[in-house]
Amino acid sequence: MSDGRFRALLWKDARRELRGKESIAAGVVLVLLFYVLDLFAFPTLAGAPRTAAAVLWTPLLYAAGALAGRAWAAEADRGTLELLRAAPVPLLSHGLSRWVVNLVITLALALVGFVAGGALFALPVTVEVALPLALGAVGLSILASLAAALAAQARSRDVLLPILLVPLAAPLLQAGIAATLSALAGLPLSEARAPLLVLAAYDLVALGVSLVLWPILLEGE
Amino acid sequence: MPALWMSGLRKRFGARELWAPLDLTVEAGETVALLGANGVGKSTLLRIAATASRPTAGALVVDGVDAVRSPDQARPRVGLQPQDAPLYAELTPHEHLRWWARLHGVAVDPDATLVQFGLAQAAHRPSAVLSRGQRQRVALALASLPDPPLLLLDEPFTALDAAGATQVEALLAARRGRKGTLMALHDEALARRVADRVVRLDRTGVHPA
Repeated sequence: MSDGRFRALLWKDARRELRGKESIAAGVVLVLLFYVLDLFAFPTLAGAPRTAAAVLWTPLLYAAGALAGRAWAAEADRGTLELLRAAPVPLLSHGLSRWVVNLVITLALALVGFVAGGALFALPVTVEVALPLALGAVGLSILASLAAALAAQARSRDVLLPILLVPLAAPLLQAGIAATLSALAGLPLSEARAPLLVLAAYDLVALGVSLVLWPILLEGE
Repeated sequence: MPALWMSGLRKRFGARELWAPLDLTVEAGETVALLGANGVGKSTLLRIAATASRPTAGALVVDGVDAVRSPDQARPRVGLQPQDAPLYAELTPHEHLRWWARLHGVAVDPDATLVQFGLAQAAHRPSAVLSRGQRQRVALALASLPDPPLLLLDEPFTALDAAGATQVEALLAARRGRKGTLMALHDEALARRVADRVVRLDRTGVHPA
């Protein structure tokens, strides 16, 4: 497919998000609500790195799932999946376009959480903390997009999406939290090399698998 | 070369087989109306022809392209107007047309197309606030935008006023003798008036009506 056609798909998906503003606004509110709740539960995170890692990663996991779920549910409910299937481009390109837009929003929400963690809990605002979150956002957005597209046409999609997403994301979350714990302990990036490599490899494998799965997931009954 | 050629086509949902293996040809330049009872699978047949749904078995050739084996190559040769006129609520008719033209890689003046389909007043309104008839007009404009070798229309006259119906008839007339059109209709008298050939779909297949 030509670059121009893929740009057209990206334009459509980005335009919908910018015009609707629902995903971005709902995502920011969701992330901040987690932090407000955490403020009540944990007045300080000093000396509690495992709790701090959970504070950073939990909103990201929820936001990635909610964003992708909402986007694909809207396609299914409004019947626009039919429009996509009739479009003169390979089905794969619809999945990739939607994922790119979800990725940008998920990264933005990861940034919101990262900044909120620094402002509210005095967590270190460093590259060592940001990098695992960014790599995690990439992988989570791929998994969430695939799981959401698979669940979108099911009656019980709200249950199905987390059931599919969380087990698939377990290795990514384990590596991400390990890298975050290393960063919170004040260690340099080189000390977290193994979990960071696992995160990067996971992202690449997830992207490769998604290239195969998108046409199958988007094909009509 | 036919615009559409189906042979031994079957479709199964779970254990339910929609039809006996069916054959259907739409010649280039021919307009064919497809009649049939509610639920018999007219929309499904059109979606299969548009490669939006995969047949369980059988051959499907669109404008010379094997659409079962190469759906990505067949898709640009087909325009489909789905029954419910699905549109993106956040985008306007003008944006839909511009987007669709870019996907087809064709240069189109969206304003002129919108005037042609009677949508000049609604051009820049979000699709969420359009009436059912206006949405139907946008869906028709999208399906016919690249003047595809095969146009598939699912109840194209539904929800249209007299002016809209006249526009659909003008669209069909403009394609007659040049490009193939297959449309699902309920009204047999209308079908006989606007189509070159009328066929009926039932559980035993497609038959002349």
